[in-house]
Amino acid sequence: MDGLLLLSILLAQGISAPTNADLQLEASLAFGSYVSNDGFAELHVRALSGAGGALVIETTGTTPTVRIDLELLPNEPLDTWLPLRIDAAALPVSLDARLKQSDTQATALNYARRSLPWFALLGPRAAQRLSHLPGTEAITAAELPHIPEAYRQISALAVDSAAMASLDEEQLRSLLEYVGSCGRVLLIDASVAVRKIFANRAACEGRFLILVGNEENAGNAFSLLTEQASFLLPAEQSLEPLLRKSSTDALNGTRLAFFLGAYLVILIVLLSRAQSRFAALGFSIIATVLVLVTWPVATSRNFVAWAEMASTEQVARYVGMERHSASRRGTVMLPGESFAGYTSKISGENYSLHWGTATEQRKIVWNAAPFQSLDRISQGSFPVNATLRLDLSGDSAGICNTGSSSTALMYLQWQGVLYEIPPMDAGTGWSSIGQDILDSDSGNRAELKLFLERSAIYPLTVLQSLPIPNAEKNEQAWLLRYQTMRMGAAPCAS
Amino acid sequence: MRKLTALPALIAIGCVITVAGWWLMQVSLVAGTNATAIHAISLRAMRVIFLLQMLSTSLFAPLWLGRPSGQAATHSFTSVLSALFPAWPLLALLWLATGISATAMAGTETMVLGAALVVALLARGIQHLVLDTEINRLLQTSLGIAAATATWLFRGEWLQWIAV
Repeated sequence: MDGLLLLSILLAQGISAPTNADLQLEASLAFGSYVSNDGFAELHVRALSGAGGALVIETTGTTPTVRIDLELLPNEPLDTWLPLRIDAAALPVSLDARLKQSDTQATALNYARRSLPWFALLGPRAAQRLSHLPGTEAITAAELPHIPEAYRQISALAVDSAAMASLDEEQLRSLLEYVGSCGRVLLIDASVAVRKIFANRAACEGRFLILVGNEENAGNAFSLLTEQASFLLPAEQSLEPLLRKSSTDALNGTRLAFFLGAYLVILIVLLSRAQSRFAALGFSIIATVLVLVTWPVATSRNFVAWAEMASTEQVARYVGMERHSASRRGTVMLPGESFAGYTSKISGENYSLHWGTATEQRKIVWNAAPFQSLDRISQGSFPVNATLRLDLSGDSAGICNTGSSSTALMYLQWQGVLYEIPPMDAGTGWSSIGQDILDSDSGNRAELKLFLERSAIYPLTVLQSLPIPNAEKNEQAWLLRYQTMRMGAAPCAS
Repeated sequence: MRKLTALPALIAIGCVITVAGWWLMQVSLVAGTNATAIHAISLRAMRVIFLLQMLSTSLFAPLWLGRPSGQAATHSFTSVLSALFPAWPLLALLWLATGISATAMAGTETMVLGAALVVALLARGIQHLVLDTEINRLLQTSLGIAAATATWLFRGEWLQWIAV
């Protein structure tokens, strides 16, 4: 264990031990119970009861608090993996479990905090060949997460073929999601089939996925991998301007001012003209009741996603921002799982997490109030058909629609200059020669500003609006394709 | 029962416009996920409303007695009431934006109403005891100023009511 990287062991009780015959509970965190930042860690709970029944687990020392409801069958162990956020300044985390109609049992988590970066090594050959490198720590296959959120706890992962074979389906899916989000992965002695699967899912042009054979120097490859600068997607602050103002936002500001203004004007008129003795008083009471009873209910949801991919690859990774705005006071139940990717962060206050075994049972319970909002940041990746080809040849930039359908309006940035590309039919192309330059400040559109910001490091980029299946109002997504190298001319068919 | 007096209500409307404008502006600056800040701003606005209500009713209640021959008690009550009710919709909005209990808010408003009526009753007593009009007016004005001063000096104590 590297003493420099290990900051402190906050709690060193046993993971758990059965305290009565009717309930056995075990809890542990993924990645060898190392927690390195305030993102979600993965909590593994295993519960067993002779009689079965409803089990309620509540956490302390987590931000926010988490309530876990599990249904145990008699003498059948139940395993579940859940996201849990451990605050950097939190007290030791503990779980208080209560089996309904039975005794209470408490168990504590055993975890240690590490500073970033730290690198997980999975499998005997990975440990053997890389454990001498600083910041590395060997983990077992059981300690590899089942949920993609938990990968935020590490900076890189090395896996050998023996360990790969022992992963279950959920672990493999989460690992591929990590690869798809430009996570640093070193595969040692992987089979051809595994290499192909991983290479197809790798984003960022595969620069964060390194495959080494048995004879190759894994240490050098791993060092090279960990030294690569991260390819970060836009931060929360960059996405916020892209959110469309919802009716609830308007209600909170302009409409609220309008309501108060109209109320006061009518009140003054009634006070100055009304013959009825209590017309003004009655009106004020009615307005108060209106506020308390009929103020628009529920919350509104705004969503924006920003995806990026190299023009040569088939996987786009994205970050989504989902904002729930409250229009009145009350408890709001939001789905625990984001409808878009996995949740990497929740920003807000006065909420708690209610997890269950099934995904649909998971809820965010939010004590909402007017003017307040809850933001959920989600991440993920998705396959994209290569229907656009970007060409950088000579003194112009070009784009070709190689797909079978026409494109929507797009924007192209080439050497810091912005162009608007009209819809193109299948098989047709567009060239920057002789085209009008679009003023980057035109329309003051937030997506164009972010587009230019994100385009700064690439010679050629294209921005297009992405259709969202079953999209509701105030939901939009953008895809940025970038070209990192000069390509030879590849004229379109037409 | 007399028609509600316009002057106290107009004073209250002035207070409502000022506080509502300040509140909306402050909230628009921090709106979002900062629930703590929004809660604190709304609570402060609510306290200011109660403080202004208490100050205005304490100060002016002795002057809202009406003619001694008329229905003075009813007139005092309606005058005090009309100094309070214009703020009720705003108080309801502030209550929605804060986490305080409905009992605390309604209790504070009742306390403001009660305190104003006590001041009005004291002024009524002075009106009966002192027959000289000039001295009577001086004493009633002094009573209003004393009540408003006490309201201000002990604001920390009685506004704790609406602490969360």
